[in-house]
Amino acid sequence: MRKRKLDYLCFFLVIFLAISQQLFAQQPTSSGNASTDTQALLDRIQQLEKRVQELEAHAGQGTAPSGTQADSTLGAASSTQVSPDLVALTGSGLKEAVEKNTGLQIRGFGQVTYLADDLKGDRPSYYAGNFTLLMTSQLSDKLSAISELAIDEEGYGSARFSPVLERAVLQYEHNDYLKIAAGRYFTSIGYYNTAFYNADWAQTTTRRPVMAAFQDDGGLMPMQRNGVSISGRLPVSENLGLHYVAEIGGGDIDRSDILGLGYDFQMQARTGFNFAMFARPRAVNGLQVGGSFYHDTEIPYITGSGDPLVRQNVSSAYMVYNRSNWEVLNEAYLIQHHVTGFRDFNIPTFYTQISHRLTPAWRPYFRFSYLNAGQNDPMLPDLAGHMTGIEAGARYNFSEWVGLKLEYSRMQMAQTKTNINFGGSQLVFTF
Amino acid sequence: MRTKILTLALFLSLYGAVVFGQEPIAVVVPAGNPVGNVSMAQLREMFQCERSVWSSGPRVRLFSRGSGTPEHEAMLRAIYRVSASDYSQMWVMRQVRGETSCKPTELPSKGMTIEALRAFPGAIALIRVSEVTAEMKIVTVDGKKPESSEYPLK
Repeated sequence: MRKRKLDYLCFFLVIFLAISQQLFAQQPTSSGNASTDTQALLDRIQQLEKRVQELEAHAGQGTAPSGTQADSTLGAASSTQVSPDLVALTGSGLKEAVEKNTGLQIRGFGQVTYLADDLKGDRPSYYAGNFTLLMTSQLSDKLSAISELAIDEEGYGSARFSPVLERAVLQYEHNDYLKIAAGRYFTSIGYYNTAFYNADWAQTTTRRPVMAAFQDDGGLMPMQRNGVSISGRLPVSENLGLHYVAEIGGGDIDRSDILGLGYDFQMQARTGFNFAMFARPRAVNGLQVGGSFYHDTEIPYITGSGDPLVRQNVSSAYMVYNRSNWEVLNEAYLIQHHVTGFRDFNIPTFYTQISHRLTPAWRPYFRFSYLNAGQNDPMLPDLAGHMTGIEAGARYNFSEWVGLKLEYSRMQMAQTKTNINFGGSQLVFTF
Repeated sequence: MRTKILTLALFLSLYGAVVFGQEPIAVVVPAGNPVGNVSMAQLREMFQCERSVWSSGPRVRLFSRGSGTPEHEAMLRAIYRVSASDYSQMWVMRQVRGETSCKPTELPSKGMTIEALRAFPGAIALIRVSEVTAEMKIVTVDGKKPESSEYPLK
């Protein structure tokens, strides 16, 4: 009886394995039938390449290669009529083709946001945000250019748009240890600014953290400057993966109020500098730890004459862990304003953000932000006292290129005892 | 009884070798490149735009096969450690950061891989071991040859 059971078991196991092997044979890779087709095409290209080599070998003799079956595609061709496409992709043609691949590349980023809040007088509205065209080009082995042109909507739902040059940089890459860039660049203050740039599509959340927002969106720090930047790896401790960034630049600032109520604060900024360092240790894939120090001098436009001179320092430290399933961002900043003839202001601020991809499409997230601004700071007249914010939501990716974010957020301002609730959705895409 | 169990075990091991066994992917460079070994960490840094120049001088140029090929799958699995979807998104973000010069060029055939190794002194390509020719120099990864059981690119 036991022997018979074992016979049956063996029989069914063999049948199952034979069937499953057939299934595997149809799916040699995770890409299924598409990869079978790809492999067939690749095999075909290899056959054709072999044939071209044979024809080239006999080109000088004017004779057909011996001992080979004439290929149906090339059989009718004489040795001088080999497909020009194939020839173009060999030798120097390949080099040119590879270098052409690093020519001008254009990518667009767009978004549509639906936002509702309980601020008195506000109505829910659609907002097209900014549409960004990113253009990059590898000009030579060591020289590249990148520019970012955004068309911004002037205020929520205004449907008035204006073009803004967000970035225009020419970069010379001497080696891994020295890269020099000049133009309008994003400052390496903290992590967020140069991790996501102006691409809403790349952000998990609908908005940047309040302290890392662009100044024309109510941000507190200079996120863009015109000047020169030097960066690279540090030739110490390969395992630590140490990098540095040194920047020097200036440019006047036109800052909006933090709630987007339409107030505008203009500042004349003198040349400032920023120095940043970060480590990407080999031992923990996805971990980045770093910090930066920024200094400049600004004159906030208040009365037009005798306005105070403000020396501004921004120190930052961060630790982020970003792998495909987990995103954990922690950043802290200390913004210092030394107002000549008045007093000093210290503005500590931080945020922590966590998200986890539950399925290939769904990624819920949460962010907590804190900010403590001083009273009567001429650089931040719209802020005073503690401010905390929470943002909770989920991102759904329809594909690699299209995502929908659903978010609830709440901002509490202790000084004015104001609580503002926001709810909305944001469709982001790239093409 | 014992014979049947042994036969079954033999069949299962053969089945595993055919179905699940994957041909190693060799890391090849031009014959003139003096490098004989790279660490997996160095290889990742090259593919992650962190290391763009060989210690011998030439600029690193990366070549692989297109999606759906064993070379591409091994590259995603062992080097980038991401899914195909994440790989696409990663290169968009690299474009945003201005780091596209290190994107691996996808070549459709062995012949073109040979041509790439001829054309670029700093070339490094991923190719199935069965397709390696005399014009290619295999570099070991973490000191392991492709035939080693501990070779990471399988």
